[in-house]
Amino acid sequence: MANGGGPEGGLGGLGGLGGLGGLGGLGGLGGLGGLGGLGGLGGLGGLAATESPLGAESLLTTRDGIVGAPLDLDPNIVQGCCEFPKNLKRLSPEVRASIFMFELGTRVTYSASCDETATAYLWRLDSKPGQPPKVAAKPLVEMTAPTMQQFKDQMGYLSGYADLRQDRAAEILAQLGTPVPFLASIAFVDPARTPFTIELLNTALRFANYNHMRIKYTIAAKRPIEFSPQVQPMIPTPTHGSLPSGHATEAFITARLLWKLLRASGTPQYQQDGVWGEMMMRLASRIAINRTVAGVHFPMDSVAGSLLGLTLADFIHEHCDPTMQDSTSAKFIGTRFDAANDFDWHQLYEAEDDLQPKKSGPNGNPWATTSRKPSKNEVQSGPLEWLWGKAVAEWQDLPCE
Amino acid sequence: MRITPKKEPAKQPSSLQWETVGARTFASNAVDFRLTQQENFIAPPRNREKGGDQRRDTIWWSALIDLRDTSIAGFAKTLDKALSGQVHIPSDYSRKERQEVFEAKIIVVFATTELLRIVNEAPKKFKTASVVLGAIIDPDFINVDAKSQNAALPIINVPNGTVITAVIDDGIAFGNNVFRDGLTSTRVQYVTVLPTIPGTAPGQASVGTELEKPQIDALLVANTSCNLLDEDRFYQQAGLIDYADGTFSPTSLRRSHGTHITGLAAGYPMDDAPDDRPILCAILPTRVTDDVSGGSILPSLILALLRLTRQAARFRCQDGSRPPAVFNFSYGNFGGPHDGTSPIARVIEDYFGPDCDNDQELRLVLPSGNGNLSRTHGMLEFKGAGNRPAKVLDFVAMPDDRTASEVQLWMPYSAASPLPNVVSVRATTPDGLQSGPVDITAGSYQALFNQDGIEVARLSYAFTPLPTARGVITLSLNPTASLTPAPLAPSGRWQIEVTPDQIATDEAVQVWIERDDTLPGFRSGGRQSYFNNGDYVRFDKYGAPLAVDPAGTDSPIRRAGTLSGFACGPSPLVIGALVQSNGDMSDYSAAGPITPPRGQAVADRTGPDASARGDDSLVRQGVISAGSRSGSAVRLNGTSVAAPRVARFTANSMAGGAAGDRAWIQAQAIAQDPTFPTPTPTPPTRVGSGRLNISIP
Repeated sequence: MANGGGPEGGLGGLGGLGGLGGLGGLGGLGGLGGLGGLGGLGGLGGLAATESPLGAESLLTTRDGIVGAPLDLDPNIVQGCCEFPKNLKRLSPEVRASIFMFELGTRVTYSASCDETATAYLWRLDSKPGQPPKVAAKPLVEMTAPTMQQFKDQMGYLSGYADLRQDRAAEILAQLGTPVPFLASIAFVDPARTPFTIELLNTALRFANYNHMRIKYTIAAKRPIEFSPQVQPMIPTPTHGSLPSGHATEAFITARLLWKLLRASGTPQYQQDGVWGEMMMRLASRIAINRTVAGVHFPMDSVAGSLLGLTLADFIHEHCDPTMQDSTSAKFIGTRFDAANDFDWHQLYEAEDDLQPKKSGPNGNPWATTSRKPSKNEVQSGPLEWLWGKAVAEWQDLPCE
Repeated sequence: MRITPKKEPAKQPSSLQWETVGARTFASNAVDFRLTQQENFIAPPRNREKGGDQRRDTIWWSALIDLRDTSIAGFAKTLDKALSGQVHIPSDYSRKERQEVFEAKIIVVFATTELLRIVNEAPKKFKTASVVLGAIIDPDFINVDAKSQNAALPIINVPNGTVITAVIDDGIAFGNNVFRDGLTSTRVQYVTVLPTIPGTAPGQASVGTELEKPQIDALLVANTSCNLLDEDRFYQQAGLIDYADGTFSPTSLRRSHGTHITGLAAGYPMDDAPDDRPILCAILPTRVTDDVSGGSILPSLILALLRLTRQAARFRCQDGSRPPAVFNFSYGNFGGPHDGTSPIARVIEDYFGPDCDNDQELRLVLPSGNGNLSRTHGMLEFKGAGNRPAKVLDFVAMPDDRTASEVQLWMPYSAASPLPNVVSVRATTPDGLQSGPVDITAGSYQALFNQDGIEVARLSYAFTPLPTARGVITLSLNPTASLTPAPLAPSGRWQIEVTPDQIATDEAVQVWIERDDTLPGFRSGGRQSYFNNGDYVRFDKYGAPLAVDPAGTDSPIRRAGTLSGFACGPSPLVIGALVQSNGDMSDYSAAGPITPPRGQAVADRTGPDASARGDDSLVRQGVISAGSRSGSAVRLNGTSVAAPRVARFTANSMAGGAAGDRAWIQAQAIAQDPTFPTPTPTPPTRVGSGRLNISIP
């Protein structure tokens, strides 16, 4: 009786639909898990009730009930448009996320050298639209790790900042996820109001994570907990390296991109001075410093992370906005950083003009440099341009009729 | 199943042992105990990076020395070459002041354990009456090259009607917008930050740094972008915060005592700031790491008074007069003689008393203290005739107390010589070891030794010289906990037995446990010990805390008499705390009476002068004032917040010509009391003359 167990087993087979849950695979980004915090995105999938064994069963029996005998149809159907950004709005945000990630991910490549201290090189791969890529890598970010002595010298900060833990505990825990809910307390970000802004910020977060995780792997900077048994961080120390700080990278990339959106919108209150951008940077800085308070980062990690985040924000902007005229590259020369110094974002960015200074640190011996060169207009991305346009529109005043 | 009762374990023989120690001639046994205790708790430094620096391996203290019939220079001359390198007299004392000969003067010094021990052992040789220990201090924080400055400070011109507000506190976020009159313009004319590494140039201060308005404004400019002040960086550059160095300031926290207090006393909206309410600030140290002896703030306070009064004298109104200044110091303690003769009371009288030789009106507002329910005060009376029984105080020394504890038993004043043996006192450890008696005899002293022969507790008598002129028996305990091996005192229920001898039936022994607590937000250190006699009734029949001793109580533990030891002098305005919504006193608000000083029938005060808002309501405890960062508001309660409300009111009234003294505030309290629900709470020793109803717009 080979079929003896059939009926029961058949229903069980529907369980396979559960595989749709595989979208959750993005959860692998771990630190980005906070995306769910903005839950509204999930709401777009209003048909979720049918993505379950019970829902599928009902669709199945409904079809059985009404499908009728097969028809001989010749549908008058047109071919989909090739490489057509307008298609994006019909895709689910999860699908778009994959496309955006591809757009950015394929525009960078990577190398590393292991000298006295490790150096990570992030290269940009620019190619002309509509043509096969000609591989010619140009520097995007170069990051040289500080020495072990510098990390040791920064341990004083870990014990000093630990005094603030009680005061900061609530925000440290809330900031384990993404910085977006905190940015949303400065600019009016809401899933119903600014879904494409959120999508752009999430794109940036994925790209930031993609890059900083690779750099952290090269540099393999040890965490404070490995330097002293008295750090006793108030949250678990992540397994990835200490420098650059991922939280600093993610906080500064989103803060700068959001500020760029506000600037691009042309809306009067965002134009009058730099105060919106300044506030976002203060927030990003606080999130970064809170990781030192928590006991999982050195101030230097925040210096490197914020430089990376700020630079990648410009890189994304360049791919989003064909009017963006400059491309920025940056170097962090960690060995030059005076470990007696704390993290100070003002040395890396000026909000009012959305500019990174050419040099940070002592004259003649800067520990960070950035260079801006005119964009050759070779770096557009249709999908990202589409997303940028939608997001900018969310910050424009609606004209009264 | 039947459980067989376990056999009572044989009592372990105690490893501790009391010993009677031969008469010693210390001015103060308690001071000697603290000096030794600190040495026992600090292991000799090993492999210090700056190795070889002898000075770093020596324990330095801030301290007060009560000099008699000499001058500061005269005192310095009594020190031989070896000793003179072990003391630094702050540059705040000018060359002229150093030459002035006086009958009695309390001066601040920074000195080594060795020097203080020698002075404490031979007071006459050094023309001193007593040594009062402050806190241990990192020698890096003393600029021994500081030189006295003689140049007169430049005058600061202010409009007529100006009244200065001077605040002495910890963690004052003086960059907050409520202390500015413009984005990059401060109303703080001067701030001294005591807990920071001083500059090392000869012109710099002996301890701490000093900033004047132009320097503060420059810092504001340097740290402002897009019209926003980067306050974290501002305080780092001002020297308040150095995370890398472990220099912690409460201004890093959302809520800081000093900011809240200063906001109440002198905060105004930045865009509506007055030009006739300048501010002076002194920022006190908050924590001295490694100080197990329960450091006292007094030397820092006195330096703060020296600096702020000197700054206040720089101001001139257009009519040439010096504007009045109202000082606020929202600190309190538990111990002291409580008769207006303590060192702090004397120093306060030097600056604010009626005999001040000064053409500037200076007022000081102090809180009455929060110790009402702390069970840290006892009053022992021995009524009746014949053989009067001994009284016993149950004294709970807390476990995990990483700083020393101290109980002071103050004897009644006597004009007789030799002093009558009013009582004798014995102490019993938690495991039942009783000491021999300590009585009113110079050098009478019982020491508790551990198995290694190290003294872990001391019960000792000392005579507190004029103007106090009273005996005090002190029980000093080592910490009960330490993270490293150390000679600990046992925690648990101690007993202090006081046997009457020649004490009169109308006299009393007044007992206080010194304050020893960790404030919220600070690393744990002290834990407050307390009295726990069974006859002390804590709650009323509804379970609410009793805020006033039950009538006719037999318990020696009293709420009456908990008034802050700082607040017993004749001149300061002392303010209790009330609940604004119902007009009741706040439970914690401490009460008089205090003891009359030598030769006076009546004390200079019965308690606070008046009470003011310490809580908005029973539910909304505390009052709102400035948080550490510009634009933030936080709650804080206590008599600490009642005082600066009165300081603000006093400053505003003095601008209109009011006297601003005690008699004036008492009259104000009587006039404003009817605006609260009746009846006025009792007793007057807790409320003062009445309830002040002061709103801050």
